[in-house]
Amino acid sequence: MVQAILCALLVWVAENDMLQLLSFFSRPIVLGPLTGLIFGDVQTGLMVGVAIETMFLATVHVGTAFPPDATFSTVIATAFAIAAGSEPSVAIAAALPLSVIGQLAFYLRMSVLDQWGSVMYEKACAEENEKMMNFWHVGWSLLISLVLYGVPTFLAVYVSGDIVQLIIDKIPTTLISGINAGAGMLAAVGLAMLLKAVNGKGLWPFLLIGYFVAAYVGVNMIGVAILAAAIVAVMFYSQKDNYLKKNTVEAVQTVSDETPEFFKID
Amino acid sequence: MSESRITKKDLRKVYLRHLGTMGLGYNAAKQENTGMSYCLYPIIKKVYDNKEDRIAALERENEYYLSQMTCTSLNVGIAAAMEEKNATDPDFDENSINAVKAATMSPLAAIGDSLVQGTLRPLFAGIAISMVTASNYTSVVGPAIFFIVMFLLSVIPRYFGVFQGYKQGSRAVEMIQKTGIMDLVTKLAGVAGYLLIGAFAYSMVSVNVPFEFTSGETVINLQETLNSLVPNCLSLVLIFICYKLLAKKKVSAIVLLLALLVLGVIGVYAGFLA
Repeated sequence: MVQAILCALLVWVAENDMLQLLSFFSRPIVLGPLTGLIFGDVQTGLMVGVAIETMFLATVHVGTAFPPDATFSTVIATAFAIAAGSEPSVAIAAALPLSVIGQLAFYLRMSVLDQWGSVMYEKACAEENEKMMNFWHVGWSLLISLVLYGVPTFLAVYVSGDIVQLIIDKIPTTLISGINAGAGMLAAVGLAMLLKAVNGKGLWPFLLIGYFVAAYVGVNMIGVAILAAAIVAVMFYSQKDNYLKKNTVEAVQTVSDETPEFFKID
Repeated sequence: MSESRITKKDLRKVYLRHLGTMGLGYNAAKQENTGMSYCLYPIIKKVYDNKEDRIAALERENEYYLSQMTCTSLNVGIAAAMEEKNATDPDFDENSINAVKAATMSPLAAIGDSLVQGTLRPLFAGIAISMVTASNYTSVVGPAIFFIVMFLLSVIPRYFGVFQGYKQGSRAVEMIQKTGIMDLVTKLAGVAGYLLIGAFAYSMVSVNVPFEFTSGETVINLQETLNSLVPNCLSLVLIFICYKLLAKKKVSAIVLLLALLVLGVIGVYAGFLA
C-alpha cells in the first residue's frame, strides 16, 4: 500500500522532470533501481531498468513528436517484475503496452488538460492576476499530472501482486526464455533509431571503428567514450580555425551593419 | 542611456523559474508559451511601470514557442534583454522580440535535440548500462553517474543561457549562426554518436543461434564459427535490418519492438534461437 503510494509519487515527479528539470532521472536506467529501492529489491530494478533503457535508448522528444513513454512504464513494469518474483522478462513484455498507454496519457495531458490550463493562464495574464498566473501555469499542470499518472500507477502497483502472480503461474518457461531472447534483440531497434536520429552522412567509418574497438580489441564502453572524446577533440581543433577566424570578424561586422538602429541592444 | 534596472537577482529568479517550470503547461496549441511568459514575468514586472504595458508584454511573450529545453534558456535571456530595451527605448519595435524568437527557436532546437537527446543522453545511458551489466546488476554507480552528469548538463548550460542570452542579446544567436561553429559541433556530435553506436552494437545486442552441424566426429557450432569470424556479427545484421525498416519502410518503432519480442518467442519454440 505504502509502496503503491511511493510509486505513484515517483512517477509524478519523474513525468514532470521529463518536461522540466530534464535531469533525466526519469530515464529507465535510474528510475528502475529507484523503484526497486521502494520495494527493497534494487537488483531487479537494475535489470528492468537496463532492459527498458536499451529498448528506449533512442526515443527522442523532438518538437511535437512524442515517443512512447519510458517513465510511467518503467515504474509499473519494475513493480510487476518484483511482484512476479524478480522475473525481468515479465517487465519487458509489460513495458511495451504500458509505454503506449503512457504516450496516450501524455497526448491527453498536452492537448486537452494543459491546453485548457494555458487558456486560463492567458486569461490570468490579461488581468495580470499573479496568484492565478502561478496557479494555472504551475499548480494546474502539477495537479493534472498527479491524477493522470499517479492514480493509475497507484492502482497498478497495488493490485500487481495478485494479478501478476496469477499470470506468472500460467506462463511456461519456454515463453519466458523466448521473451528473454527477444529482449536481447530489442536494443537493435533502439540503436537503429539512434542511427536514424543522428545525421550521419559519410560517418559510417566511425560506426565500424566503434564496433571494431569494442568487438576485437575488447574495449569497454568507458574506453570507447574516451576514444570518441579524443577523436572528436582532434577533429575539432583541426577544423575550428577554419570556422572561427574566417567568420567572427565578418560576422560581428555584418550583424552590426545589417541590424537597423533601433534593433540594437547596446 | 539609463542604467539597467535588471539585477543579477532578477536574472536568478528567471533562471529558477526556468529550471522549475519552463515546460509546465505544455500545450498543443502554443507549446511552451506559458513557460516563456512565466519565466519572464519578474523582468516584466521590473521594467514596465505601467500595468497596460505589462499586460501587453505578457501577451507578447505568450506567443507560440517551442525549443529544446536547455536551449530555451538562451531564448529566455535574449527576450529578457529585448523586453528591457523595449521598455526603455521608445523607438524599439516590439515585434522584433517575437521575430527573433521565431527565427532562433528552430535552429536552437535542432542543435539541442541532436546534441543532448540524440548524443549525450544515449552515450551516458549506454555507459551506465554497461556499468550495470558488468557489475552483474548489483552496482548503482552507473545510474548514479548518469544522473549526476545529466543533471549538471541541464542546470549549468541553462544558467549560461539565461545570463549570457541577456548580456549578448540577439547578437548571441547571430554570432553562433554566422560563424557556423554550430555546424561543426553538430557534425562532431554525429561522429561521437556513430562511434558509440558501433560499440553499443557489439555490447548491447545479442542474437544467438544454437545450430550445430555434426560431420563425422566434428561438431560445428554455428554461433561459435560466426563469432570467430566477426564477434556478434548477427547483431550488426539485425541492426541494419531494423534501420532499413525504420528509415526506408517507415515501420513504427513500437511495432518493431513487438515483432522482435514475438520473433524471440517463436525462435525459442522453433529452436532457431536461444
